[in-house]
Amino acid sequence: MARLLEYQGKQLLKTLGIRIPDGQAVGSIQEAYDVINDIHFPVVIKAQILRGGRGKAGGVKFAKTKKEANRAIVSMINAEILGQKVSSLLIEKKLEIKKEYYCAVTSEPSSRYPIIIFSTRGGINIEDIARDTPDDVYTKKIDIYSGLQDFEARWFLSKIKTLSGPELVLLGDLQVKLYQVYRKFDCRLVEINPLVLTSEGLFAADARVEIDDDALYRQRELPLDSVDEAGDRPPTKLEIAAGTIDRDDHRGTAHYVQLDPFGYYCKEMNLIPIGFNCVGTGASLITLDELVPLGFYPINFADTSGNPTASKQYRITKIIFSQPLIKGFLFVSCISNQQLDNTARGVIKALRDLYPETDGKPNIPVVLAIRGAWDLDAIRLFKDCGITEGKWIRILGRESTEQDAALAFYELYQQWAKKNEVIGI
Amino acid sequence: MSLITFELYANGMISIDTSQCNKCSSKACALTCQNQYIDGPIVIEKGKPALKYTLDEIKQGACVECLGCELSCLLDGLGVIKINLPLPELDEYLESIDEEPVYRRKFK
Repeated sequence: MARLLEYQGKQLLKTLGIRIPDGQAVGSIQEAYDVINDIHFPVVIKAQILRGGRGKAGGVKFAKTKKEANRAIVSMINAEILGQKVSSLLIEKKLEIKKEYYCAVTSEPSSRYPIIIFSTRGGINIEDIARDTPDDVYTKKIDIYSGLQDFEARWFLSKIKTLSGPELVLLGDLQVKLYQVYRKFDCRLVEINPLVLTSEGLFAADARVEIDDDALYRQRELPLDSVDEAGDRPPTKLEIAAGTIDRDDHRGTAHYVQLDPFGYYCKEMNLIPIGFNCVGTGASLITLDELVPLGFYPINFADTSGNPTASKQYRITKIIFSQPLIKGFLFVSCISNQQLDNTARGVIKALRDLYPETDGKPNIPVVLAIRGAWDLDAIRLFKDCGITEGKWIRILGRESTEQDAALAFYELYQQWAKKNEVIGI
Repeated sequence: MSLITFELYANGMISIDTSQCNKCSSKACALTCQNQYIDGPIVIEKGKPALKYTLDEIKQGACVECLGCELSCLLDGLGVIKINLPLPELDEYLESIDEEPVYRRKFK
């Protein structure tokens, strides 16, 4: 999923008429000073990061005066909060809160409907409310063809006896607009928590907006890179580069995510970092079940399925090999109708580009388990190119299992590590 | 030099220097191209590679980017086909990192 920062999400809400507090996002101390010179106090200053729980981690501060605001800005900008560098702040006028609610529209995988989720207990984690007091969370499926009408939203809210008539009207109108945001921007989640009632009406005090990855090609105006799900962290440069492969080309996929971009996990767990690519995520899981106990860890996950073009394989292979930490590369295909001779041509071209002096023979352990349609042709191509004559490459065919691939990699790595005096297993 | 060049759907370029192709006995590029699950763009006319589709048709996806022409020309022909598949975001990344990627390092 592609997640927007709070201030970016709020701008989407604003386009459909949902009110947001007066304020501005800033990227430097000077910009921040300019904003606090013009804004009415008290203000709230919020670190713009892609993580929940930032308030408790010091990422949200209130200021009644310029002096307090200055102190907060200096302490937050460029600081690290919850493992993320704070590159921007959102400075907003503090709202006079009468009441807080939770409201979201999301895609429900089990029913395959959009649903609206509402609670009169805003401002706290909705998962906690759903677990502890499920009666306080109200949901409604929305018909994707007819959308959400005003009367339907009000009828849904009318079940909540604590809401007054004026609240019903305001909240019903807001829910319709929120659903329109969800549809217009191809969201997987659009969440306002807390949704705040003030004397001037309803305001989105916070916003979490996640866009469907598969729709990014038609949401070009959004400030997002076409990347695969990276979790609660910004995408890396390599993930952004990999995201461009599938962005305009839907002939098969080249998914790529860095699981341990800086090698921290490998170091902590004393595992050997390797590059990894597979055809089929099921085969990859089985392979990793075999590989990790042998002391290796894929610092990236890549899945090139759905019969991608050889040019996609070429590009993703180059990206995987560009990770400086890797000490080997493992490719495993599942048995499928993917045309593996195309896959082979992509990998061969990448290896030849990366290793021009050896005509594509790699300098780190490489194991390719090539099993499936056109697998014999694929293996023949590697032989014809002379790449299989390399010291550090093994190619396994259709008779091999995922365990065989992992063991072959283990044995090859041991030889390579011994020869190169690399410390490790 | 006779040069055929055509752009690919996924941002890239194939160029064929046909000045030598009369000497090629295999015509492997066209054989590979026509052996794909759809008919590819490269055919042989008057002993040399030629394009079966317009440049616009190829740019729209008539070439399935199997990269077979380049490799077969290298293996069985005269090595006159070059495919350029840029990835500028990767180049930017490589310029930004301090540590060399493994393929630029020396191992035994």
